[in-house]
Amino acid sequence: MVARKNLALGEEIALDDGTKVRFDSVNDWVSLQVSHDPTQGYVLVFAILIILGLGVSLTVKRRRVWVRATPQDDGRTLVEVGGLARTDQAGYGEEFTRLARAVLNEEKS
Amino acid sequence: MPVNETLATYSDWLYRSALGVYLFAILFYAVEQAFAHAPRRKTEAFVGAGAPVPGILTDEPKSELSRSERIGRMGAALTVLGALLHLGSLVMRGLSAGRAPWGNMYEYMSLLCLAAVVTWIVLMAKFPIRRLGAFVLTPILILLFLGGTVLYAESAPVQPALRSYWLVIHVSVISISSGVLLIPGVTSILYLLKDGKADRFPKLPSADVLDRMSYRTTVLAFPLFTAGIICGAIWAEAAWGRFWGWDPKETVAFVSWVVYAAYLHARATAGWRGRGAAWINVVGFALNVFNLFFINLVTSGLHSYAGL
Repeated sequence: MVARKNLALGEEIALDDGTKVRFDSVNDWVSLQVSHDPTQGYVLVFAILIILGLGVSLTVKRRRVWVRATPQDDGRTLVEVGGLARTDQAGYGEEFTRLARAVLNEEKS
Repeated sequence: MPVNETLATYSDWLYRSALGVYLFAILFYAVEQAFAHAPRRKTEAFVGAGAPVPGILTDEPKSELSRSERIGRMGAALTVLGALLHLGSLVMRGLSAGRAPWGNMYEYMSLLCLAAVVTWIVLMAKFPIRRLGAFVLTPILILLFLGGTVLYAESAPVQPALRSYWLVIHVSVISISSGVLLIPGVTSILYLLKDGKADRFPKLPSADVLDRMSYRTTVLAFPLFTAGIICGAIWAEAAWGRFWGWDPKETVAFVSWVVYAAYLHARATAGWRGRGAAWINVVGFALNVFNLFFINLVTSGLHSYAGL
């Protein structure tokens, strides 16, 4: 049985099958939810640290350069230069070439 | 607070104008894409574009731009104009309702698309990729169109549950980061089309440029997205007494956060670099769209009141 009507206090409605619905009274009530979390401060601090750390790890370029100078038997020095980009930063190839050149030029002077 | 109807109407006009201008921008980009010559040099010709590279000089005199170049520039200018109108519509919305203009799904999508367009304008200035404008603006225009028609909501105060300054922070950060993440989604799809076959789609930029664009944009948006989720958790703690409740929206946001983190890791992992990473980014993009539409409109959760 479906019926739709706004009842005022004390009014009643009879449904088709004879069921009577009466609006007797209203009880005021309130539902309160209280929570206390003493770790909120820590959560905030670490959340900020997460974001800062994320920013640093994504923006700082980590790259490695190795230089190995080996004295040769004939009195010359063999200089080997190697490089590896640890993070995903395009363009390390060119930068490495520049670095290697700089290193080798200093060797000469 | 009463809604200022005049400003709300102006906002709607500006929104429609922005859509129209974007549509013209797409047409201009498409014309450029269609009529521009593919670079004659196969390797990374786009990177050197602008600089006088011997061997790829065009037939026209240098001072005069080719027609397709001019049309492309008009497209770019129209995009900027559209973005300004778009921004104006958001500002008017905010002023008319007397609140931050991202209180329902229509406004949320509008802000998201504005972020995507601004990202695109910035990328256009940094990379020689203007011709891709049609590919990037089309999904944005579709979103804006859906927002302006199906999801449109009259300017009104927000529901009581949303009246918090966290609405200003959390929603704007999430919306902007999602908008920025739309761009690498599109460029990753283009990357997958282009990758491995330099001869295929000769008018697209090289796979390398597309890959770098996707990465740079994701790197910018990911910390922002993280911050947005954290702000949401703080708001949840303040409003409901817990940081995380596995609400549908929270769950999908978490999943897409993991997917984008996986993308960043994949980029640095041998074997996943390139195609693998691009696929992951596309999955993240799909999840964002799913999160935007399915979660807001179909499931019921604590975030669905942000919908219609």
